[in-house]
Amino acid sequence: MMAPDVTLAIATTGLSKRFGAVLAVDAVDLAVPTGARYGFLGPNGSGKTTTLRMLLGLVFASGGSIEVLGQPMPRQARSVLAQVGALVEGPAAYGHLCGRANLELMDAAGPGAPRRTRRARIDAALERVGLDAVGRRPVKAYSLGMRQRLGLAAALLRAPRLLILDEPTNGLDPQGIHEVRELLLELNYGGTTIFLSSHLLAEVEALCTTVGVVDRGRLVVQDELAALRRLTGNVVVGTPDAERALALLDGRLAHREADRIWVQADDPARLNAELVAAGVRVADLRAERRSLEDVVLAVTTHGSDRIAGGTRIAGSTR
Amino acid sequence: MILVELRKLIRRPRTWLTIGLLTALPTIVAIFLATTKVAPRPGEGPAFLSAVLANGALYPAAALGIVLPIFLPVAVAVIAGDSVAGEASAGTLRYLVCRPVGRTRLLVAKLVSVIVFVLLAVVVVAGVGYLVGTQLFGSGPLSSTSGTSLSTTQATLRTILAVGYVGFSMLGVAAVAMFLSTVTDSALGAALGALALLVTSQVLVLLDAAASVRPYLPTRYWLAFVDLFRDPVLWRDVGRGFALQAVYVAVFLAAAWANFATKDVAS
Amino acid sequence: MVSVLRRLATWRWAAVAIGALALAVLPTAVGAWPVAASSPSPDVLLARVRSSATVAFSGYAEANGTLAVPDVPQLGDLPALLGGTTRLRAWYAAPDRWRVDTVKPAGEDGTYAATGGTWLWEFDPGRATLVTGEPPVRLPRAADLLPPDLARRFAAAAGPDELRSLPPRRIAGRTALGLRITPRDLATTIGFVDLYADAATGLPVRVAITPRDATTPALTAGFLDLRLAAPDRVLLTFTPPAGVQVTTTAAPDITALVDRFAPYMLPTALAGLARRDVVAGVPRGVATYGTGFGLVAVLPLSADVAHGVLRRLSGPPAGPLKLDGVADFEGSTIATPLLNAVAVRLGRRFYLVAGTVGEAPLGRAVAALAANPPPRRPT
Repeated sequence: MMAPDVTLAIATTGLSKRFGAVLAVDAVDLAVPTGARYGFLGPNGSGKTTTLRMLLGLVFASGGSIEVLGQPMPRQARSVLAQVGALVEGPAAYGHLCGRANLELMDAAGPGAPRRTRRARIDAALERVGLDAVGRRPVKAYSLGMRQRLGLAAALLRAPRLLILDEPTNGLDPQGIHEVRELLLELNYGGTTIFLSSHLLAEVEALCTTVGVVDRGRLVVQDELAALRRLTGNVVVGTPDAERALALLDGRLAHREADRIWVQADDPARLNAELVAAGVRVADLRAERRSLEDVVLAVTTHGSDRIAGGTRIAGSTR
Repeated sequence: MILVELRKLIRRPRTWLTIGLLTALPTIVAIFLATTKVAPRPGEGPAFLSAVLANGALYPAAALGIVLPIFLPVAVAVIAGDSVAGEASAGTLRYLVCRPVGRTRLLVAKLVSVIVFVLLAVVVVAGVGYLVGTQLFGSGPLSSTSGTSLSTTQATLRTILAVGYVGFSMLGVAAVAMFLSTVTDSALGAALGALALLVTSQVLVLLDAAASVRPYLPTRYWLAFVDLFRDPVLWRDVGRGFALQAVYVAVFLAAAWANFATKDVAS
Repeated sequence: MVSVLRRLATWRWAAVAIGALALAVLPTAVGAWPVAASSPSPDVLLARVRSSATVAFSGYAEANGTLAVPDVPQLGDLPALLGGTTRLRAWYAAPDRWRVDTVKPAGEDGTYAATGGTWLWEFDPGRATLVTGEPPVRLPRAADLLPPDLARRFAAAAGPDELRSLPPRRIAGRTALGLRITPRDLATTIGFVDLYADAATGLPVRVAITPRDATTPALTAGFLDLRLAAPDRVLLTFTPPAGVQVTTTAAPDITALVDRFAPYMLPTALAGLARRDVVAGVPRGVATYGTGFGLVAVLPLSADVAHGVLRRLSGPPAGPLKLDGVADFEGSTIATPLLNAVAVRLGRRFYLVAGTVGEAPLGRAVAALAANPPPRRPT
């Protein structure tokens, strides 16, 4: 778990939400460290979006408390949310207006957005998400990816301290996904805490420093990615001389697949030396780490729509 | 926020389409009247329509009388019903709320924008009515329904008052539609709900058996704009109409606030 | 936190509900606010009502009738006046100087009484008529439903033993003293008349007429706004607007008209009812009978008018007439809780007999006309 002295951008205790008889979110204790890139994973219907909505003051909790940027929500919504950029359940815009007009309206609607700097901020946000060359086309003529970029631009308008993003790469092509990832990394290096909900393990694995997994409304895992991906105690060895290696490592062998063998060993360097000394040719050798997929699968139950693991890409989240 | 809502209203094609339709009806009626010269029989049809043939300057009032019973309230119910539910179904409501825009502030801004729409609509209808009326029927000095002639200042003042009164009369419907708009995410549902109330009210107003609830019905004093053209002006119903609409706005805006301020935005 | 939020929502709704309720109840509460006033004895109040014709006022009144009278053109506005709501604006300076507007949804009809004659203004066809002279007999008009006029009619007929006090009420924002007149005349359809008069001036502000054996009034007329001051002279003078057709007519003298085709000398008493109109010289062909409350009017009709009326009255709400002991007749009867009327052919004569008496007394009056046809006036 988190070290207690880390300042938290988001902290919830016992956060719950009941819709009628259904307990959608059940006593969730989120701890998102300031400056982290937090990946919020969970199957559809697990309460991810509801939690997100509670953080943003859209949905009111049935129990528990929320602190965002050190202030209680939703009581201090006005001052908190002005420092938060959000993308919730897909982008939304007024279809008959162009992207710039949408951003202008959205920016003018809330506090803390001086009119003087509006133009410059909108230009910067549009450039950041790669929409600066779209022109005055109405949003209804945008592709899904363009809308997603516009939604991101809206979230970035006021240089937020905290970004809360729900499936930010939805609808983007691989190039776009890469661009968004780079953008988020850049923002994070600039000091922005990123809270990202996703059902794509690969996306979270590639981007996040901390991971929380929610299943059926309960937070089942919450830790740093590095800690989750701990060593398994096995070393994977690729060798054309598998038979000789097997003979040598008798009793320490865990598993074999053709030219790859899994060996129980604490020190890969020593194992390598041992194999080489015995004349076994080693093509590659590495200490095995747990994959995020293993972690998630181990702690989640089978939902109606399961998490897409590894590099597989699941369909829409909704 | 109010300015933002007004910009949304003005830049929305639907606003102008609705106002265009609202002005089209009285214009069509005027063209028919002018070509056939067949006036409605006295005491029948919308107010002032039979008097218009003689004096086109009355046509702004007649145009208001034409759109008042159905067309205008339908337009208002649709626009007001869309106010919150439309944003909810488009998904923009969640972004407004976490922008953050205070929920009460949002409601007030929406109401102001609906009021501006109503005023815009009645002013355009009356203005076009004046142009069409004076062009097609010619104009003369306006006389009151009591037979006294009115000075130009008086006539203008009374027409402006009537325009304002008709606009104000729509606010009850607007407030109800806005309240329903916070209850449901379906803009159509909210508009239909407000229209159901409207139709019920219009039926009950005519029903003697419902006399006990009549003073509470939102459409009860709608036709009182005619009283502004009497000499002296009969203020009784006009005043009551104003007060009644104000009460409807207060009650339903408060209900909208009570509902919306603690409502989960789940769209 | 949860309970705080829930409680907040509950409080909000409670505040809204209480506010709405308060606003809805407010008018009723104001109306029900108790009125403190010391009532004079009923006959003193009655005397003040009788002499209230000098009180100048302006105001807005509504009259509401529930009597279904068939729409016969010869009855003029009567069916509408007795069977619906009449909205009246009145400016009254003196008995011969006043103005009453009948407010209609899309216009109005004005009546301006002045010494030179009475102006009638109708907005919708845009017509102005100057009527000169005051007819001795005429059909009821909207102005007759103004509470002071209506009330003074009943006050004039009431006797001291028919009176009872009613608790004071607030009417049109003024304290009004109440009086109930219960006619002793058994023939009349009128059960009782409730009459309220302004405590300060005695000006009647509300009248409610309840038929015999009924509990709710069949005809009420009351002020909703009232100002006790002489109205501005400008309001009482009518100048026909430019471009409006102006007609000048003499008031139709129904008596003279009737005399031309039916010069009957109606008797001084009919079925036990005494004739009311002053019979100076030769008795005329139009007559009213009865006491102050049980009134019967007899109006001979010309043959063509009578055929038209009888045709109109051939179906509901009119019914067939039954007469005992009369041989050659045909007729229809209109029965309402307050007003009964009979249109009838007796031999070769036609009559309209109407009154605020029950169907039986009315039938007796018709039978009396049939049994003893009034003689023709010698020429």
